[in-house]
Amino acid sequence: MKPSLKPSRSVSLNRRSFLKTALVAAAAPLVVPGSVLGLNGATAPSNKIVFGGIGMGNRAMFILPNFLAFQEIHFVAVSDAREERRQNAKKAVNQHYNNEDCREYRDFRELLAQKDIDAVLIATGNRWHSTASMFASRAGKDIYCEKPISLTIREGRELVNTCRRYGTIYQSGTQRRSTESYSFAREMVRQGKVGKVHTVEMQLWEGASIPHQKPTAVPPGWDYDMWLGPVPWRPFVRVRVDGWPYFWDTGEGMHTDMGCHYTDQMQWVLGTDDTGPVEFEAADLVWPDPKKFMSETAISGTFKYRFASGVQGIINQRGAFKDRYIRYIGDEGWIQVDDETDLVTAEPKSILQAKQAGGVSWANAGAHVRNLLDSIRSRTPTKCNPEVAHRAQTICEGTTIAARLGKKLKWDPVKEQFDNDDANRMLYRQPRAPWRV
Amino acid sequence: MNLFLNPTMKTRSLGIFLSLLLLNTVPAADLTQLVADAAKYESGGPVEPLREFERLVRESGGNAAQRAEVEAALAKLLAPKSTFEARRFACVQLANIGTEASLPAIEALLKDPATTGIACLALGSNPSPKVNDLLRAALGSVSAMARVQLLVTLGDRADTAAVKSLVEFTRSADPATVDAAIGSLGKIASAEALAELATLRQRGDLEQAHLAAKASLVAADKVVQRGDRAAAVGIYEQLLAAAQPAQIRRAALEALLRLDDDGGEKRALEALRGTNVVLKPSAIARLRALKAADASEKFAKEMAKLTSSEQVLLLESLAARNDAAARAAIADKVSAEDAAVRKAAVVALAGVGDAASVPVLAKALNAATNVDEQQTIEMALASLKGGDDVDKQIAALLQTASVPKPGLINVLSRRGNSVVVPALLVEADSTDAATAKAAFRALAKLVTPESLPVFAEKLAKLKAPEAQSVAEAAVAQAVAKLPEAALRSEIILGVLKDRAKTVEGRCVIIGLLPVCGDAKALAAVKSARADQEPRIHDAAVRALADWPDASATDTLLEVAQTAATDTERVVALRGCVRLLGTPGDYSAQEVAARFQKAMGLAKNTDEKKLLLGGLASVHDPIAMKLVEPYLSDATVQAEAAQAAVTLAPHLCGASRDATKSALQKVADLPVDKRLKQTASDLVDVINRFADFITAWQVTGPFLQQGVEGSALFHMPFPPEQADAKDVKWQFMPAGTSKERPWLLDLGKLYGGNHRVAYARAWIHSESEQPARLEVGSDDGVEAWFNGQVVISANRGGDVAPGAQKANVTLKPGSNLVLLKVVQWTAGWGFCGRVARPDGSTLQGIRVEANPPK
Repeated sequence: MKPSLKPSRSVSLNRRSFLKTALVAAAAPLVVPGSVLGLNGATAPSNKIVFGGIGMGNRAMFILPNFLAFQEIHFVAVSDAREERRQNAKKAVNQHYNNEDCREYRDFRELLAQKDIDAVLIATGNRWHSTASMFASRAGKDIYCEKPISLTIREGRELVNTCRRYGTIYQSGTQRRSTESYSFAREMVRQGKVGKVHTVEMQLWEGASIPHQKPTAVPPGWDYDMWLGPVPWRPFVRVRVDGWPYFWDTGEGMHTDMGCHYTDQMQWVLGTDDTGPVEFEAADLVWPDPKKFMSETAISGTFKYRFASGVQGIINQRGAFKDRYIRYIGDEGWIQVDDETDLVTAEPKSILQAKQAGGVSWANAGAHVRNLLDSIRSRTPTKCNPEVAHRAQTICEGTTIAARLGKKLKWDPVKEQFDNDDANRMLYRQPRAPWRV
Repeated sequence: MNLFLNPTMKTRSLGIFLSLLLLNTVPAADLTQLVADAAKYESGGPVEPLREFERLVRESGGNAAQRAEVEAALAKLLAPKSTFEARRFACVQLANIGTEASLPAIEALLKDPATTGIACLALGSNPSPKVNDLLRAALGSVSAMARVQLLVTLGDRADTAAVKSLVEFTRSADPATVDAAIGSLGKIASAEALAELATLRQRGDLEQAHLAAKASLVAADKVVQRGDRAAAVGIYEQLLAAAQPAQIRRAALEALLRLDDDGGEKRALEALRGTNVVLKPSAIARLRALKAADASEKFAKEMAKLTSSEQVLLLESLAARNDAAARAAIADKVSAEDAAVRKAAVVALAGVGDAASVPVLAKALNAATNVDEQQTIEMALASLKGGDDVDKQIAALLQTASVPKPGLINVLSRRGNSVVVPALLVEADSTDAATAKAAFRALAKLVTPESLPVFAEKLAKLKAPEAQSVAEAAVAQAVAKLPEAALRSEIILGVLKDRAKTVEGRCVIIGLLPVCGDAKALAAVKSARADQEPRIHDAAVRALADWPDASATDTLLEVAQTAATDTERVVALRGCVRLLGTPGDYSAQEVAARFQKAMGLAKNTDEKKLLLGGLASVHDPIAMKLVEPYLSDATVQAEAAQAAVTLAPHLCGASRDATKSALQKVADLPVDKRLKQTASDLVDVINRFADFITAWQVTGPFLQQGVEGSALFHMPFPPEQADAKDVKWQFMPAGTSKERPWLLDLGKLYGGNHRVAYARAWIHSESEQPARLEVGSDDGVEAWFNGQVVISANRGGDVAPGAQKANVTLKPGSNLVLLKVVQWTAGWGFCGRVARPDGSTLQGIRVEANPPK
């Protein structure tokens, strides 16, 4: 397979394609978009918010019902670099509305050019999150984007700037902020029920190792160039594509992919949403055996942070999927949320007396979507706005860089700079054109 | 020196080796070989050379000499003879460490369209100013596709010297080139770039103007960062012009609002008075951030000119400010004509309102036109701050408002203030069922111990018969909230004595005695059972059947024995079955004995079926003995078979032969096919137990918060102590997996991570003889044989039969095997057998789960 530098069609869409998409929009089913009625601002509560989906893989299909469940959302289009995923998503949307109206696009920029679309659900692989979000923001769309917000710290900051620049309403898919159990834990910590918090301990599961495999032809129906997006071109290797979370330029490992859920919680509870730790460290790292595996990211390890206040954060990447939790430890007790079961435990147990039964777990993102819709209407920030999401992800990135360099790093959360030149060089990766921040 | 990594890959284990390596520069021969190996890399091939390069990059940080050698080696890896993937890898590394030294090697990649991307990746963060010279120089000699990459990279590097070239490329016929060039002008934002962007915005080419507008937003941000606020305002004001696309105008307005000296107040008000529906929401949202004290008043004055959806947004912004003017404006809209506005005002008032809001909301409640609106107002009333004053005002509405009372009572219930109990007690006397039900439900939550007798009396004198069951449940709930049984009894027996004068009233209060649940209450029920009034007698029997613990069991058996009617006997037997199924002080044998007695009292098929169902929950071999005879009774055969099959997994370990015998009978009966199959399958599993010990008693789980399984292994828990009391042992359900019949699944029994369980069994031997104890465990295990530790393995992993072995000597009589099985994470279980010293089956021994008598 030859390397390709082929830009994925024109970035700005030329006149002809613009007209084409405009005509498609004109011929589309009549759903009065919010923008016509002043959404992007002034939608009447009864008006629909018109959505499109970018990246319609497993996660998108898992979360799509949470969007379709809202009467005020009308989902009109889907986009994916993979034909079968497009068709699958289109079928699901059409089945929901009992019609054949859902439009499909291989190139998400065509979807973004649709004037009837107010907002997008972005559930691509992680390599695309910040770039696709920036393109959406520049196109005037509001955004629900799966986590993590970016794969480099500077990209994350650029996305924060872009959303601020365009007044874009952005919700990061760190939906645990909208669940009962985590809100309760936060409230208890904020009320001082565990005393002064000195440690936040988190656990997520061990990462996978991806075996060696030779390149093959790109399967029919795939636009592999678009799948890669801003990532430097490399040949199509099925296990590498399917195992994208375990390579530096597409996923950065489970600690980054999943860890940002927990660092987001930690930031929320500690009240550090606009700043972050001052020190990063990684230890006890176990890497894939290069004799057997081509994957790059750590299987297990311990990732530590220290805030200026002295509070320590620790993510243990170990154990099984079901073993994940977050625990706030103070000088008078602790409170823990078990992520698998949503069970809250605490010491002293009296903390739990205020806990109400019920509530939805992380698996239901409905309340998080609700928060986005309210923010779109009122043009006010979401719970997981870009700054919040960027700061949570910065922690994962900081420890990832510490792990890759094998060094403890000091971090200036104001200047967003390390005390180490090598680390600062890793704040950004030049994207493959035509994609740009 | 061998440069390659130890494949165990534990970073810390390499520390010494790496330190030694870093004392000196890397031998040139080794690097040459490393380059040669890495140059062949293609996906699917060995990655060790790449990992080694990564290590050298990592470890050379701070060592300029070695870093220079590594950079030079990576530069060599860029040679044309290297595979694309090897060169890609080298560029990824050089992106992090490249200096001026590697520029010549990278320059060659710039010109090949296939490698321009990875070359720019390597150059993007290279600090050398010569990088920009390279990029600019290459612009004229590459394909259009490659040029886009160069233009983007120049923009990211903010190369002001590139502006002239960028301007030229804005005239290109290639849209991607134009887009990249204009975008980069925005990032550079020099005076020259700003001027070009201004020209492009006005040139008349709509596509280019739109691109330039977007780039100008980026540029204006940079102008602000440089401190030139006036210049930035100039750009934004041009972008706010009506001709610009909606998202550009909104972006410009929001930027201007942030930059304005007055926080954007004047400009936001102008937008509010304007006609652009896209801009108004941003203007309204800005109100939240304004510092001027009169801002709420100024914005509220615009309310009437706005559409209803805009009014909704303004109400939300006013609520966020929550000053006096905001609250007044919100209150004013509670009676708005538009339903959506009214609702928004009510919701806003819920957040900012106080006692002064009660009359406003009360008026709205009276005027509400539908249930939804009524409920929204009730929710707002429930949310109002202001303490007792608010609650009393709302309680007073019960007498004055023309709205249905249940809604208001629900509001008081949600607010949860006991100050309104007197008002609610009045409503409990209502003849309207809905009102009485609401009052009783609210009182269940709010009533205090002092007013509980009056509350119970209300139940005894209930005036709305349709509310009977709700009222009973409410009073029972209120009684149950008292933590001490003695106090519960005292209050309810007091009501029975002094306040319940009618037969109906006494019956109802007797029905509350199970909630009291102590000996005094039980005595009162027994006494009531002797009452000559049949209704009181019946109420007492039902109270006994509802009793919360097994202390009423024997009385119920007596009732069943002496019952005057079939109904009374059935009520008593049902009560017995329920109580014998609850955890209590009775041993399994005592429970079984009572079932045996109850069986003797059962007079018809239905009663026998009821008792067989109850027996299925008694996990003791006696239960199977009681069930087995009924397998031959055609009238209850199906229920007996179901009970036997339900009991079997729990008993087939402790009572292997008896369980197997019962199951074999079930398999031969004319009962449900699936039941027969299950019985056959269980027999099959029992046959596979072989000489594995299945008769165990277990206890657990034991844990200590924050202590992991591997550490718990070393912590002794009560079962390890000879004189331990309060250790509750239970029979271990045997395994039911055909593949692993020997596996005893503690995870299924107890669940959880980082904890400990103990298992014990007695091996009876006729004589002293040598033997071997074999144990498998998930995770750690410690084994005692007759009190001596014989196995100790603090390890993780799955159960493997015989993984741990110890030679032991069986003494004549009983020999105690005690296991401590430690759970880390995931699976948790064990297996064990006692064999001959060579591992073959040891004949003639007997295993018991029960301690020797």
